[in-house]
Amino acid sequence: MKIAQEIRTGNVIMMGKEPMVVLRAEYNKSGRNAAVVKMKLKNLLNNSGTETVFKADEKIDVLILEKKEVTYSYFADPMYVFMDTEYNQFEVEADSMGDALNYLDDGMPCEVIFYNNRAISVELPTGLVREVEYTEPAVRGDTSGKVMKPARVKPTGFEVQVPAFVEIGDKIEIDTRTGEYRNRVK
Amino acid sequence: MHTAEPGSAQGLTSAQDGRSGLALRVALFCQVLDHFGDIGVSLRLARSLRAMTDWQLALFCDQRPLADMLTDPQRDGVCWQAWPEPQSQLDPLPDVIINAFGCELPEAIREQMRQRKAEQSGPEVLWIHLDYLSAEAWVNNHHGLHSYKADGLVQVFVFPGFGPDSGGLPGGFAQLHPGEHPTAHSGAHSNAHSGAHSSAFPGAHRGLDHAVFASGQTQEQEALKVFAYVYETAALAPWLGAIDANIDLRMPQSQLSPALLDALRSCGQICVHGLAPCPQWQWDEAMQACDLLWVRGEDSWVQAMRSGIPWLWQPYPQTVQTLRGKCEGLTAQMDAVLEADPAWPCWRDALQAWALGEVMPAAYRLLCQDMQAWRRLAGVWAAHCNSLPRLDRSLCHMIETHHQAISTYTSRLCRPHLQVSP
Repeated sequence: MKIAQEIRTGNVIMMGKEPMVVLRAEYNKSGRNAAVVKMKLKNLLNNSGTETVFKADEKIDVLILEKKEVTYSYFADPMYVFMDTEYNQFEVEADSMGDALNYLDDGMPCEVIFYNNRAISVELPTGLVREVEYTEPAVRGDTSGKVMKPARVKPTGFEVQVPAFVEIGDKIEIDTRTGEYRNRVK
Repeated sequence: MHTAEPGSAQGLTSAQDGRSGLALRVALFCQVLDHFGDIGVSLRLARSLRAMTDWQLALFCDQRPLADMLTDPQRDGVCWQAWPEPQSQLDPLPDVIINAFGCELPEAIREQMRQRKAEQSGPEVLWIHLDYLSAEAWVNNHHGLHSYKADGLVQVFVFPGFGPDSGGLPGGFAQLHPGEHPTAHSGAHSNAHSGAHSSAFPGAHRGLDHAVFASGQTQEQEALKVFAYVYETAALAPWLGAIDANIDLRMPQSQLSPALLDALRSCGQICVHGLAPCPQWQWDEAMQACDLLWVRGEDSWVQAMRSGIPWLWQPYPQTVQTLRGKCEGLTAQMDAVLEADPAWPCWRDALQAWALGEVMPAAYRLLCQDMQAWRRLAGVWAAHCNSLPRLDRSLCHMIETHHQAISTYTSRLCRPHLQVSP
């Protein structure tokens, strides 16, 4: 069992008797320190999609599936191809990639997850470092870190909210579970 | 609806409130996290459902004395029951269960729902998670989603909000006594616009308040009547001190700490009244009688927005990033309605600074110097809020739809087998 806010893209959870792969997990603070997690799921038995929501502290049954450490190789529409250290290739459907597409980079290490010997999704490290490709210059006077602004990161162009002091060319760590800025990396 | 030990034969007094035993049975559960807001929102919703429907309502609160204090059974038409014991079940199981603010349901009642589902001994309970109000855009795509529990139960999440795809805006004076009480469109609103309240603090002649101290000579009729219900972190004294007028401040007695009173003494001509705990309708009247509202959390915030009286809001203390999101969500909604008004940027800056606990902006002083403009803005925003889809109606619709499914289910059970024509 895990609590909902620990569930990551690529995890497989049980919804009743159906194994569902998590394509996206969106965390939001609702009120008074309560939070909810909205998930986009795909049924591994019939490929049907659904959306659901949980309280962030709700316990969820997570399937422990076979995983393999791989690196991202290339995209062969509509499949994303990953390779392990023995040069075995594994293909994951584009619509099973979920939020991983926001961070995908050549040679990026991640884990491919298997269900019934089929590669069904990828799981990313919880934190990834990316370079800021573009962000507006900071407004003078506020360097407190409270004021946030959008920043586009390489290589996917994914947009992250960053503190005002972050500049183009800075490397920042992103929490892949929430898509949020963690810190600037020297 | 009663609680009963599992297996006991305690029956439901179906006409407990003089209504038909066939009425839809709805149970609302409320656990108090802090102070009155949880009960306040739940009570307003229950009162409204009671007024709009013939449903049989059962309200459970884990702090029943507090709930009873806020409720006037004569006016509200509802009353509370104590929180069920952990092993108690509901007899009968209601058709609809609402968990206010996502509170946890007693395990025995969840077991009852699981049993119903497993045995298919009746239509499934519509189990609703009612969340907090937020003006953020994300609530629109979260509202109405189903949550599939590990034990097989399914819960529907209702997210109140301002957008057409949200669960609607809670609260509203209009729910108090339909057809007879002040609403943001009638007397109270026009008073708020004119700034000429004919009555003094209504609680005063009911013994609800007492003057704690008066600094200087304040004439009640001339003073700006300020209602403040804020978190301890609020920098009330400097913000009040920036108002260039005699102030008649009304606050809950429980918030008048010695430190705050000391700070208020430096606010110039000010008279401070302590508001004693009172039923919700009196609380609402106390707000309505004021010229400026400092509110917090959810219940008093919604009432302020619907009132047409100038207000500032303090969200529940959370991380700065979360507060910023809540605040920006609200000002984005207000931008769309108020952006043409030249005074709006001042209110927006004041709202943001107050909500985030930042330094008082110059814009706030400008706003205080032009209360007429602030009242105009508050009036326009109130008219907008009062035209938005309502939480009570949204829930009614959701429940009625479920009820139709129950009726279909029941009529199928009762219907004789179809004869096949030759």
